[in-house]
Amino acid sequence: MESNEEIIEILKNEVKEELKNQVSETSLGYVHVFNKRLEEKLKEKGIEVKKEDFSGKLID
Amino acid sequence: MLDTNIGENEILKKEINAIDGEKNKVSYLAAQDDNDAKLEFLKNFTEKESRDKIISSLEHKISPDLFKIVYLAQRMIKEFLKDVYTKIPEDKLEAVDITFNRTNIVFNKLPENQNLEVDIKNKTMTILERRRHNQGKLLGYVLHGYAHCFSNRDSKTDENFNEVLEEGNADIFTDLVVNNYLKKHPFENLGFHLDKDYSIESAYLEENSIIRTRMYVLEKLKIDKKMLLEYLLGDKEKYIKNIFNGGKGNEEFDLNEFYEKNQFALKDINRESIYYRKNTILPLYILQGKIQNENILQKEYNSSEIINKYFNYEKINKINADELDEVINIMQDTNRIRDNLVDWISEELNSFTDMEKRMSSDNILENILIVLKYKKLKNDIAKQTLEVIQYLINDLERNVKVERSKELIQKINDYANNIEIEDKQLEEDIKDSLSYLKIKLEMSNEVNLTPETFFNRLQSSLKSGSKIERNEELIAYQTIKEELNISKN
Repeated sequence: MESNEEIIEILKNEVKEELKNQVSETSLGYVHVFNKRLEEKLKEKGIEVKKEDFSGKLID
Repeated sequence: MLDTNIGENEILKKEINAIDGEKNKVSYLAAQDDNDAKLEFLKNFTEKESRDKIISSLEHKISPDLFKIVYLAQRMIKEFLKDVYTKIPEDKLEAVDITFNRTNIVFNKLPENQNLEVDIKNKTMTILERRRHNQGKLLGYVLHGYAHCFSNRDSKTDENFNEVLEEGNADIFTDLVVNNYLKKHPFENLGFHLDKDYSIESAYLEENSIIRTRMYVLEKLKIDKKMLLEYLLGDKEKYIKNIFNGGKGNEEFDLNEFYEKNQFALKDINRESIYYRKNTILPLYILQGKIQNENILQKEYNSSEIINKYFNYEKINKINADELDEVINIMQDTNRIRDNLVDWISEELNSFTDMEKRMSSDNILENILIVLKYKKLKNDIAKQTLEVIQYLINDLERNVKVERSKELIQKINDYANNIEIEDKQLEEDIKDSLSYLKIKLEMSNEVNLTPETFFNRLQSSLKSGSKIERNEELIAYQTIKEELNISKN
């Protein structure tokens, strides 16, 4: 049985692969597209997603 | 921490008060290390010279590898401001100078998948270290980052943070600034390549679509760039009041409502506009403008539904191929229409009887060629296409006039080479048939076709490497002459 961390790693690789021909990793905002897709996958697996508080940083 | 700052500021205040004369006060303040303290006391000075001295004394750090790009970005921004205003408002110019002089810009490691981080508390823009090599991209990062710095120069929390406004405005700001500069300095050697129609590499498609659609409308009132700069460097409340007619600015963008309210400005949308790029909404508005009888903005449609609505539910034997090309071309600009072109053309072809295919083979083929411009053919469509080509060749052999033969020839020239079908034999058969059809069309069209040109084309259409024997060449030559009714020499 895989741990949550292992599942998250697998899902991250899946997302990376899915986005390969859609969004360039060097584009601004890639991280948000990535996280959104990952979040959807995590929800499907019933893994709780923690929303990070605003840290005074804008992330692109 | 806060208390300490207040305490330190109190001490500094006393020290400054004890100094005689504004010049001396300014010099003392300029010599301090703390940027925040300098800006805190800036409001006590009204003389431009004093304020400039304090602003230029602000300290910041820039990675040496970024000097060139950062100063280019600053030049571009200043030039943009100069071109937007007859006279740049002093407060906006100051906001720019303060940002330039207190923002650190550095390369460093960043958490996974991030390319840029703007720390609004620490006034630091961090660019992912391994992105250092592409100067064009770096320029985009720096300009986008500066837009965030301008817009959040006084923010401490995310209380009024609106991602659409923030990211969409940062992206369009970058595009406008770069393109303005490139237009004014077409021959300047930047030391790296930038496309003439520069567009930032960004994943903020939704944000860009909404902001650029609003900017397109504002451009008609000639207030687009001024409003953008109001958001970044001026009064956000004023911006929101103007853009949202008194609304709060965080409502969902309603496609239909916006179109209804701005129909006049959204007439004859210019696809060359900078606001059309990275915009999935304006293409939809172009289509809505052409589909008068039905609303396509209230739900998501697929391409076949749009084509049906656009052409009043006519089938492809009645549709003008150039108009179909235009509609598909516009649909390619948006992700708000689900693509089912291949299924559509397949259904269309399957819906015809043999007789209908024979009767309208020219129009059907012209439309298939348009779909081919955008899509690969499936085997079943390819077989039907071959059939249609054959009907058309038969017509031409019976001297039936093909009305749009010139257009058909052009499309065969343009798209026949795009044909890619899983079944390679079928692919070859279609290409050969189209090649033959083209010659037949040219003959019927009385294009100046000599045996020499015919023969040359025949040779070039053969697979590379194959050769025609001399005796075969002579027989073919003679046959063609006879076919073309050319008197023997």
